[in-house]
Amino acid sequence: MANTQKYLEDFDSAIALGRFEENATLRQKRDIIREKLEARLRDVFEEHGEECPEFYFRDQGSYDLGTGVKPVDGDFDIDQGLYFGASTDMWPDPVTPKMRVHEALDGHTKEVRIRRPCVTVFYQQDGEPIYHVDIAVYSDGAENADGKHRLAMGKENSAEELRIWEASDPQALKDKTTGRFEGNDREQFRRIVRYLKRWKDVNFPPDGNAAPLGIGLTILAHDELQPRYADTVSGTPDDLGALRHLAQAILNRFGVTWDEDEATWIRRLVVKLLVEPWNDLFERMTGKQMEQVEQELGVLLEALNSATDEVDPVEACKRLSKVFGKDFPVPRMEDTGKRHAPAIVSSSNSA
Amino acid sequence: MDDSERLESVIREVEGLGLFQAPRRLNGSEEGGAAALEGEITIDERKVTIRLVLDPPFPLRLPRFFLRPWDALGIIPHVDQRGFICFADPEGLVLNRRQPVRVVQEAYERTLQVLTDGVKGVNHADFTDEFEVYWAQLTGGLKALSFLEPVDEVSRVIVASDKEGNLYVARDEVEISAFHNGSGAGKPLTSENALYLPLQKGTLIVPPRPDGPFWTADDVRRILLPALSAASKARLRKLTKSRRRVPKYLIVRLIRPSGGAILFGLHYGRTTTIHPLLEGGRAADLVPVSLVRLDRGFLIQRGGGQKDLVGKRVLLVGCGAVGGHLAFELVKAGMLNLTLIDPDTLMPENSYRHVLGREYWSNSKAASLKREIEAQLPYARITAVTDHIENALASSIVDLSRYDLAIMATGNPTVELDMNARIHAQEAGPAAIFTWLEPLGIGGHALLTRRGCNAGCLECLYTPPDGDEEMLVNRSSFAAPGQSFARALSGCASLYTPYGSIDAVRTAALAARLAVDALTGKEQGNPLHSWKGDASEFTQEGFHLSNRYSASDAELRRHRYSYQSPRCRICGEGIAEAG
Repeated sequence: MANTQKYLEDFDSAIALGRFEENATLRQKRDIIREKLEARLRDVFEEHGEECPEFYFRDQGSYDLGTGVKPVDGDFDIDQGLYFGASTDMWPDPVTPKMRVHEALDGHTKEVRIRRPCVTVFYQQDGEPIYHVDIAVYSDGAENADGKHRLAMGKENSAEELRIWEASDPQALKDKTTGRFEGNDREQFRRIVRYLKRWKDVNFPPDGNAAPLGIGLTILAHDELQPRYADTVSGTPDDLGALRHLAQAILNRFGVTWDEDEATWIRRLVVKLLVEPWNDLFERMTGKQMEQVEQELGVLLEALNSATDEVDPVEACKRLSKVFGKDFPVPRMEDTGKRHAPAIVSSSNSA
Repeated sequence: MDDSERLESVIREVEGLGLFQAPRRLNGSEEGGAAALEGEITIDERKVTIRLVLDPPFPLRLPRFFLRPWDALGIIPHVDQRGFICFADPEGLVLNRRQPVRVVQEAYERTLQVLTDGVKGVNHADFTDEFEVYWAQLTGGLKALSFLEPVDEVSRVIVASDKEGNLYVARDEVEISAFHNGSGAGKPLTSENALYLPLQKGTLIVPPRPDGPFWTADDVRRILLPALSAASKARLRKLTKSRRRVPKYLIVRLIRPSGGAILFGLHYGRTTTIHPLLEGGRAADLVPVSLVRLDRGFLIQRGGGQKDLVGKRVLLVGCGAVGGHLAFELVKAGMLNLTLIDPDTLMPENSYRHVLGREYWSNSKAASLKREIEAQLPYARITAVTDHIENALASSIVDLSRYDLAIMATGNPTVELDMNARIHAQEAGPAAIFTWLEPLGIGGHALLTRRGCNAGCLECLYTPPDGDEEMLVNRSSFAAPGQSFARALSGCASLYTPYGSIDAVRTAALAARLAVDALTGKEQGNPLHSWKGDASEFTQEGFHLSNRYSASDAELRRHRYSYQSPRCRICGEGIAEAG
């Protein structure tokens, strides 16, 4: 068995995006939007003859979880929560505050669009999208009788029943997701999620519902990961072993269900959100798309297994790069040969 | 409110409780107290006078009760000649200092209990339990230091005296010398024979009245002989046959009903040529001899050490900050037979993290430690070797096979890996402990190893878990590999690694505990124990921690045996057993 841990960690360094605190670029992009809203939002409400409630921002999404990966197409996705200190009663139609946010940001870039769960600001460079910021609009739980944060769902011309204030608590989700692991286990969890997200970006088309959601993969890792170590004494991790085990566990989770639309039995993967509204994160995928996910998972597992069996690290890395893409490092033959370990090294021992 | 007013008010309240009949307020100066109350109480239908005395620090101290006169209820346990009634051992008590009157009331109840038990004979065995104390209070007696280990057999022992008239009790001269770390008492001693009599378990003896005449020779015979076993009696007859030299001292062992043994002695002033314990023997002018216990077993157990470790031979290589503290702890734990090895001398800059200081500057660390340990701790037998371990082994000054345990605290992994290999190569070699600490307080380690296949040893820590490359990296380190921590405050000659005395002491304690557990058999495996400290200073200085540092204390403990590597060149599969 070749030792691939070093190359997996190099791959992780190449794809990992730090959290907001660690990454100045992300922070800067986030702050531009925050400042814009702070400057404009009150005026927009006033123009509509309304009073603007107090509001504040919270980081959310993968950069907050520490599981963010660099996008393959270059389109960064930044998530922000905008919390209004107002109860849902203030806006019976949840689309109203979203329209105010949209208005405050409109003209800021070429495209600002209200989407069902958020308001999205698209940034472009030379006609190519470079990043977008998703602003999720909440009614602060402290203002609501049931104490729950509620997310404004719906678009300008959504049907009535699609305009709802949905219970949603990204902070609780973060605590539950990362709270399951600690110390070295948590670091392995984060790397594993990033491997899976990059695998998803490389192997599925970006549009529509073809690709499994990143949060879905995160929760699968939360549910199924068994941390593994090559050496428990030094704490040297075994990411390949952990990932193999996880891929197998995910495949085992596929079950057969009756699909109403297609009127046929299909194999589906069900991944429920860890907090309210407990929805299935893959519910919007079609049976065909599901089939694709299961097939790609099989290819992934096959690659992980053969990399494990491979003696030569160069060959092992080649197999891994097939599923993880060109950012996975394949060492040159001459770099992997047996080298002389130094005969004189410094030590931290004293007495 | 000053003390006397405060105590007076307590006394007034106690008076109001009606504990005493016809209470009279006194000033407590007679017994050295500040306030006192006297009155009558009834004990088992007998009316007696007791006095309550409060000392100025009360209620930080217990109130005192006196029976007046002291023998008003006859001679009973826990009442001394001043009438003082010992109703509780003040150690281990907490007094409610906000409720002084209740403290007095509860003390009064306990006092009543002690007196009632005494009159009814319920606590008669307490005389034997406290025999030593009563014996020491007898007037006209002698005092002696005793090095004698109480054994179960009647035997001949010695009482030695010096020019000043000090007395020493021991099995023989060797035992006196052992107390002085093998170097003799340091002054000329004259010895005379004495008899040691171990009384059987269950023997109860009432001490002589402190104000009455001491035992006569007949009393002694009547009291002691029935308490000897048949074997002891036979042996006594044999030892007292000679009429030429009649031993004038008796040293008696009494088993306390509540556990443990006590020793007391007595001296016959004049005897006939027949020993006074024998039929027809007579003696006069008997005096008690009270003994101060200085025997090895007593001192070690009293200090919390283990008697079973006394016979173990321990080699300690490295007498630096860790080794110095460790040497003391090993001896205090009962490992009296210790060999110390270190080629270095103690320098002034070592002082603030070494167990020794100024007095030993420019002297050999090993020899100085020997001197200091022997000066402080009786019976310790320390051998000091002022050389490198590899030289001491080459010249056969040190023979590993003669030790039960070798402890390495050199901070030098190269030499220690070599020692690990030697110990594992030895057919009947000692167990070994390797101990070291890491810079800037991040932690310390102690690893136990004993010969055997897949046993786990120091080499395992330097064996990579997979791959086949040679590795000189310690897998257990909390510091990431490849960093150098040596510092110099002045020149290159003064290189040192930054850590403090607290870290050295903590590491030494970890290793000492492991040594005790290994030698007593409490630890059957070969664990690696690590303590983990705070890393903020370490990281602030730009150093990096290893993955292992992120493991929790519980994880470190859980994995204490799993460092063993089947690929280890020293203890790995098919090496140790076959070789």
